[in-house]
Order: sequence, then C-alpha cells, then structure tokens
Amino acid sequence: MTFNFPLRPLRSALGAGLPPIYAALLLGVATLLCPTKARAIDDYKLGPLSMEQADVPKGRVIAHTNFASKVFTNTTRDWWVYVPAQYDAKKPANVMVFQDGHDYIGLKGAWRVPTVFDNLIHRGEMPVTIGIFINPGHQTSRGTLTNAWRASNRSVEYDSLGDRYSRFLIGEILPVVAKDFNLTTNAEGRAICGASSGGICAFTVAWERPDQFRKVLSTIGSFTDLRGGNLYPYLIRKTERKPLRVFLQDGANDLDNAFGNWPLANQMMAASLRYMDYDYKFVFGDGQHTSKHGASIFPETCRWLWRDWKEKGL
Amino acid sequence: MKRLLLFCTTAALSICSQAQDLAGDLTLHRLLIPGEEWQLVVDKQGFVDAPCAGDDDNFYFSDMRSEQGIFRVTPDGKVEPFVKAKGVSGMKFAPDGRLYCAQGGQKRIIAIDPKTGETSVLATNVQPNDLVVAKNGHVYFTETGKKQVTLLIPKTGEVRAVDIGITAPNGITLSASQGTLAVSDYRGIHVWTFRVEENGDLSAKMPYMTMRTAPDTAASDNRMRAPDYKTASGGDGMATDTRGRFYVATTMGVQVFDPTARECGLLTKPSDKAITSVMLAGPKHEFLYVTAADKIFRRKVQGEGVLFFK
Repeated sequence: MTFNFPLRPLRSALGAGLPPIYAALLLGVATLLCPTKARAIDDYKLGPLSMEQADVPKGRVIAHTNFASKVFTNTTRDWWVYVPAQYDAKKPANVMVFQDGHDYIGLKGAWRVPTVFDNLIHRGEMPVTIGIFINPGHQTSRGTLTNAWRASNRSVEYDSLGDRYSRFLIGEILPVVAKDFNLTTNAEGRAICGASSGGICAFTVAWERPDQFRKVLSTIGSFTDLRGGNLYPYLIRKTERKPLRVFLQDGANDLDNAFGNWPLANQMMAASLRYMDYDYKFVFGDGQHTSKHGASIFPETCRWLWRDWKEKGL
Repeated sequence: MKRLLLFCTTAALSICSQAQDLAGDLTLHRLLIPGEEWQLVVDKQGFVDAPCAGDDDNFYFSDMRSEQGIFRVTPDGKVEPFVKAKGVSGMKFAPDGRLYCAQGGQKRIIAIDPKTGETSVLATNVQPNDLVVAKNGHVYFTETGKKQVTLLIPKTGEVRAVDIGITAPNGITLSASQGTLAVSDYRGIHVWTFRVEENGDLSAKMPYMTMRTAPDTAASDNRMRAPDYKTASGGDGMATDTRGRFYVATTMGVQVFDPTARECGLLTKPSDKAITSVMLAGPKHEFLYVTAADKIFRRKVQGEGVLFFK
C-alpha cells in the first residue's frame, strides 16, 4: 500500500489559489470542525510487542569489541550477537543484520530488537533468528570514539554503491558468527536492516548479493546523492527484478538538503519497486529523520518480512 | 464513491504500472516473460562459446576444449555432435549454407559444409575472435589483440582491415537491417557502430551504446560523491533481434539496447561465472542463450533473433 502525502499538506491543499486571509480562515474553520485534537508530527510510540513480557523466554546478547577488518583497513568497531532462547544448534537459524547496531541492541533504546524478537519468536510470528548488530567502523588514527553515530568511516561504508560493504559483511563478519552458531545459508532466511545511511547500505547489500540476502528493511533510507545512491530508482527500472522482499519507511518531514529530498527519494524507490513488480511495502508517515516511526511499527514490519516463514520452512 | 473510485484507479495503476510505457519504449517488460527464468540446457562441457542459430529450431555451440568442437542442441534438449572443428570462438551460418568459424588458435577462418563435413579455409594469418556474416556474403570479424575489425570477402578471398583503434574489439553483430555493424569493446564501455558501405567499408564510426559497469570500489575510496565506475565492461558476444534490439554479454550480465542505443535493461547472469556470448536461437529463435564457462543457459523472451544469411 502506498501513501502519497504532499510534502506540506496544509499549505498545498488549502492555500492553492486562495488569498492568504481566506486560506487562514478556512484552516481555522477546519480546525474547529475537527473532532480530535491535532496530532504533532513524528508522534509515534512503541507498542506492547516492544516491551519485555514476563512470560516470554529471553534470548542472550553477546558483545564483541574492536573488530579489525581487512576490507575497511585501520578501522575498529563494536558489534553484538543476539541468540534467541529457542535457538537449537542442530537447526540452521535465520539471520538478520542491523547496521548502526548500537541503536537497535539496547533493551531501553529506540528499537529494542532483542525484546521484539523474543516476543515475535515466542508467538510464532517470525522464525528463530540470530541478530547481528554492527557499528560502522571508526578509523583507529582518529582516537577514541565517544558517540557511535560519529564513527568516522560510516558514510564510506554505508552510502557507497558497490560490493565493498557486502564483502566485509559476508566475508568477515558472518564467518565469525558461523563459528559459534549454526546460521542458514538460504538467502530467503537472511534479512538486513538499517536506518538512514544504514538503510541504503542494507539495500545495497541485497542488491549486490541477492544470493546472500533477500529481505531488506530500510527506514528513512538515504537514497539520495550522498555518494550516488540517488541512482537506485533508475537502476531498479532497468535491471531484471531481483528476488528481494523490500520494506521501506519514510516520513513527509524527513530531510530536505543539499544531497536531496528524503521523502521524495523514498517515494521514488517505492514507485520503481512497484514498476518492476517487486514484493515490497512502503509506509509513509509524517515523521522526521528519526527512528520513531520505524521503531513503532518494527514488530509489524518483522511479521510482514517473515510472513511466510512456515511455508518456506525457514 | 469518490474515494472508492480513487482507490480503484490506484489499484489498477499499480497492477499494470508498465502500461504507462510509451509505444516506442522497449522496456524490460516488453522483453522478459514472467516466470521464464534462466534454465540450464548444456552442462559439463570444457569451455563453451560461439552460440549460433541456424535456419531450424536447433541451437549450435562450440566447446573450445573438445576434439569434436561443434555441437547442436535439438528442440527436445538433446546435445549432439554436429561438425568437427577445434577451438572455434565464433561462428555463423552463411548465405551459401556453410558454417563459417573463427579458429583463432590456428590463425584462420574456415567454412564447413554441414552436409558433407568438408572444411575449406577462407582466410589465413588472421587472429579472429568472433565473426558475423552478412547477407551479401561479407564476413566481418574482430581481431581483439590487433584492435582491429577485419573484412573478408570469400568470393574474392580479399581480407582487409576496416577499422583500427577500438581498445579490445570482441563481440560483433549487424543491425536488423544489416545497414549497421556493431562491435563491443571488452576493455571499454562502448559498443561501437559503423555504417556498412556497399563495398564492405565501414564509415560513421561512433561509440553508440554505453554499457553499464560496476562501481570501482577500489578507486572511489573516500570522496563524498558518486563512485567512479569500472572502465572495462567485459563486452563480449552479441546478438540482434527483429525489433532491432542489441544484446551484449558483459561482466554484469546481458545488456540490451534499443535500436536508438537507449538501455532497455540488464539481465542477471545465470551463474557467478562470466558469460562469453549471447544468441537468440531454438524454436522460433525466441530463446536467449548464454555461454558461461562449462554451461549454457537459455530463457524464452519476447524477441526473435535475426538470421543474417536470410
């Protein structure tokens, strides 16, 4: 389902062709007639599936530090692995990878992925899935990192087109996790997620390596000209459809700057995925460049991404 | 009611979004057939190349590492020996009914009579990679190492360079009308085209089609801007369909262009192996074949191959 909101809904809907005074009057009348209180923009809250439930078994989180990459030389990064309580070493587990891992892993943070996974796996609404949460690299020459959002190599790793990040992920990170855990090699059972630059990064990995990842979750994705990612809507239309399932979220009040307009870029992505008959879903709200909307619908999004896991034997 | 109408319109548009394609746009929707994916048709060969269509429903190919050399695949999928010729990297049927073959290893071009198996030598001291034969019998072939496109006129035995300078001329085909010759540059990003003159000369050379390449992640390192792209397309064997579309085997997959050189789209490679060539052949010449190392794949498309000897 596609929602198409104009960028400035009130001004364009009411102000078109009307002198300002009438537009203001109209707006006033509309406000008076409106039975509910006007809602602030980007006002999204986490639901019960993002909260810890007493009767739900909890998975464990293993923290890793100082990963040294050969693809992104001279960088360091922290990362985490979430293992659900239902994990059975005899059965290959599905995999979901999160960029900017620090934002997703916390039990009191924006996303609370371990809690959402605990709840959904317990309810049978998604399969047994190991979560891998990776921070962007920070150049060791730049000293200690105090804020993970400021990792110096983030844009290089996430915004760049091409196969470099997928070589790091598939060639360096996954083998380390696979040493300790039985991970599926079925690309249908491997999902990748990110927000903003992490969102385009997730899409790029699946675009480059559909043999490895076939489920994509991008929120407030930067499909703009940070490093050429604005090209994707056109590449999609002129490339044979890849076997991907893509979820996109964005909001009408997302960024509009020198690199592009995020709401328009995401609408372009959605239109291109539709044009090529992709299995995709686009949710467009009124959010800003935050994860509030994305995180609030994250349980529902996971259900959608994994909706046929039983039939597919994942 | 208005809402319902709007909803229905939106739904209809989203179901047949490609219905908005303009009449002249040869988009992927007008080429690919839903559900028709690559299918493995030949396996466990040495190294296959020279995919070729005849005036029948068979598909012909060369296994460059086998003694037999040339095989055909019948419509029911049987692989049979056809004629003997070692190390053929490109071949086409000619108007005289014979099969013209590029034998680079032996520095020659030969013609094989499929009925008798009799082999004649058409040109020696050449380094042919791939070739195309026009309706008038003229043979154009690429000599990749010499950066040269060469003309062979079998009637007179004349052999002469008709273009020099493309970095690595490799695949070669004609337009549907045969008025234009197209040559892919393996180490560049263009398919070059020429006007074909009556005496066989080439004129009006231009870098007509631009092939897509992957971002060059090594070269693009740390700058806040769009990436540099690789400068070698791996442009290899080519084919032409009756609507005038050009097909090129490249590193990224099969790239298809419309007669005005606009990109129709990129078809995914059937495996992680490099594809060396592409041809429309088989029943009604509506199957797109690609050669990939020891395997050949095909898929049905909305396109019919041109037989230049007809």
